[in-house]
Amino acid sequence: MKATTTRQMSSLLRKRLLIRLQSMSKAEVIAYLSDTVYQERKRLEDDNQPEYEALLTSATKALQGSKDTIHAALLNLTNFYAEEIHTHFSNRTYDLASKIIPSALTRLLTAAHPFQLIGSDFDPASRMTIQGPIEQLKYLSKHHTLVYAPTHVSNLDSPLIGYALQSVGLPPVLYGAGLNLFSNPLMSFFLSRLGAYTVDRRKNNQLYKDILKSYSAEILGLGHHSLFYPGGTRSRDGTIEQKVKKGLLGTAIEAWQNNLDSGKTKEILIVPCTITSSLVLEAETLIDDALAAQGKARYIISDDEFSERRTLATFARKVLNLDASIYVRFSQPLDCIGNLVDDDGVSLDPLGQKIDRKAYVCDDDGNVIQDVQRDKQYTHRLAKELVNAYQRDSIVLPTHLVAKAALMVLQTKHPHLDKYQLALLSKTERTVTTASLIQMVDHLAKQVRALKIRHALPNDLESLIERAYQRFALFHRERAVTQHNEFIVLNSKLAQYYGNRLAHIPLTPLGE
Amino acid sequence: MIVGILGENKWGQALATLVAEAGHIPKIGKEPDSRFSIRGFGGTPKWSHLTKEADLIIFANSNHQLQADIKKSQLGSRNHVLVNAGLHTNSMKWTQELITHYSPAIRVGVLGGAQLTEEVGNRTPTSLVVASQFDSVNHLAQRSLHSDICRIYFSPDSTGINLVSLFVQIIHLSMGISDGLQCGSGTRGAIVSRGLIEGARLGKAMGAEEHSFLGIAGIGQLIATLEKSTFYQYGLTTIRKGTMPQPAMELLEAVLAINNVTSVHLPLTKAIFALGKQEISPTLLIDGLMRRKATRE
Repeated sequence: MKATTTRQMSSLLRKRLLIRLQSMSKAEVIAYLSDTVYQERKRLEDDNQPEYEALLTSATKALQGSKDTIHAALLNLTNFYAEEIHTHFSNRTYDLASKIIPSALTRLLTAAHPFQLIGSDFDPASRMTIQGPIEQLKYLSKHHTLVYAPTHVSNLDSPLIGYALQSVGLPPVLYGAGLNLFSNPLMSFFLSRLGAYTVDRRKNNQLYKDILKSYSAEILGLGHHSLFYPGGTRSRDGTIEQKVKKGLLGTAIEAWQNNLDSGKTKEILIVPCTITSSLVLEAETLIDDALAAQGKARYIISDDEFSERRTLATFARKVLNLDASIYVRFSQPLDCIGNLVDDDGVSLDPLGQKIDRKAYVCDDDGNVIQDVQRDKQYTHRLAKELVNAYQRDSIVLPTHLVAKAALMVLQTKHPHLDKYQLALLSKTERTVTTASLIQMVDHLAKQVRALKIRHALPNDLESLIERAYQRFALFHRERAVTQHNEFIVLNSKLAQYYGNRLAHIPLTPLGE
Repeated sequence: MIVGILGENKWGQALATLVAEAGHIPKIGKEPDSRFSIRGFGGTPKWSHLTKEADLIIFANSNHQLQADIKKSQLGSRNHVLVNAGLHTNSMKWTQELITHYSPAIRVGVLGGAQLTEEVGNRTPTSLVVASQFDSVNHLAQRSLHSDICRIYFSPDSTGINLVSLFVQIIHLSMGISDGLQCGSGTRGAIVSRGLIEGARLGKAMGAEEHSFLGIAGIGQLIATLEKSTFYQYGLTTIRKGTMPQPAMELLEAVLAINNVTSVHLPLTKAIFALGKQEISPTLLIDGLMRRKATRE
């Protein structure tokens, strides 16, 4: 695979921008640039970036000039953004990535101080359960470009998927990592060398968003396997993504059509992926944010457990190093329209018959017909199939089931309280009988089995509950469920967080 | 442009007339042993040829036989498809969902409004609505069917157009019951307005546009087809014979099943269904509806 320099990437992105600008009137171009300048000036009020500010000042002046002057200002900004986003990507780094990921991750997760290993027996790969059509993906990854689209609950998801890919022999991927992830110095060191490109989610202007999308389409067109989170950000309340963002997802169909147009034989295929873990490092911060008063929730959280090195190391030692703690499941791959593909990458219709997928976007002579509205609908369909795959392939673990049961017992005790009010209950109000929780767990476990939902629940009730108790005792400041003989004290926030993982399953509480 | 019309019934022929009137070439998909006269329009028993050749495919047969027709048509990923709005009650899928479920075709839309075959044949001015989430389907359908004798409107709201087609039938059924009970014009007016509001309320909860209930497929079809409506006849039969015909029961059951997810207030549909199940008498039906608490419109 040929490496792309920042200059080459910048040139590709500018070409794309110029095509977009050609279809815009002068008034639209002015609005496009002035939005960028306004949004960024507002954002930079408390920030000091002289070079960027100079660029914005020059862009402001350009607003008074001709259409060509405005175009030039937009192109200058594109150069700046391209440099910021693009990794210093090279074949060497890409090849190296597969070799250094395991040790890098081990160090990342175990270092209370940089490069201090806490134990030579730490090996998350042996603890991680990786499932799905691995052989099919290996074959497809040699002939096509794969886009991994995982669920997202933790900042550890990217390194864990990287680890999972490497351990089953799949090639590494490029992915967009938020600037905030670089707040952990070790993570920053490794991320910048493992195919992560930078995404600054504070930049909210349309030009930056368009450039990010173009960048994604370009790297796919260049044949780099990629990863992005269709949910956009970590699930705040623990639920599996019910809706996904279609911006970056839509770049897959764009890149596919570009490939068809330029006669490339590589297809672009999407691999839904679910990451399920017993405990989530940032659970407490995330659920706090989900339950924060409206308007106070944060889209970007930079001061969570992930930014605390010791907490991260404790989590790795106690949770990631357990059996049956993390499941990474790759689902059957899809084409850009949302159809399943077979072992050879050929699309299948709902009845399993082979389809000529090019006909969705080409005329009878094989020429690609550009139709943005159509592509949006196709992406919408793909998004729906991703959500279906997430729901079908996520795995019910003991912590989820016991938390869900605990939540239902609490809701039965306080039927008129909403989720915000439940979170504010006193310890006494959060105390329930052990017997009621056990009964509810038994009731829910039977439903999960009857519904034939993927699970990793021990067969007997006692082991199931015991495993959940053990896991809950490992990490969080306050356990989701704490047993005191005949009574259980529930942490209603954590019970909501872990119980919400099963929100998509139609489970009914005891007595209904 | 070639438009393949799958189904040689009267509605298929009316559609062929509209296509020809719009300046395009209709080709009718016939049954292999058909002796049906298709009034000079080109026809072929090989439906799969039509799906390979035509720019737009329209399913013209009744929705009951749609599943079999889809299989026979061998639709492909290249096809743009139009199908009568409605619900396939056996599978509880909207008609366009049935197409995407049983074929690779994705670019699908629904056709709503009154299917007045004789009036189309007589070139009496009329109008229809096509609804698809794909602009390309809407534009192709409009180009294929729009002419001086038929105005074609389009909409992205296929859910609304599908749903209103069910509520038109429920309102017709209710009016049949009302007329069977010899209620007056006031009752009719109340049924029409409250029935449409009920449908719009459910539609809104499902993401449909309220506007669709006021359009060609809503009020337009309600008024245009009342006298000829099978469901109006079912309403009269219900009172005359004391039992509601099965298709009417299936329709009501289906709408209430759709509402299981949304749980909106559907007093008219529920009351008519209770009558069908013989849980209440016709007198109690009217009484129950009239005694409800007074509210704002």
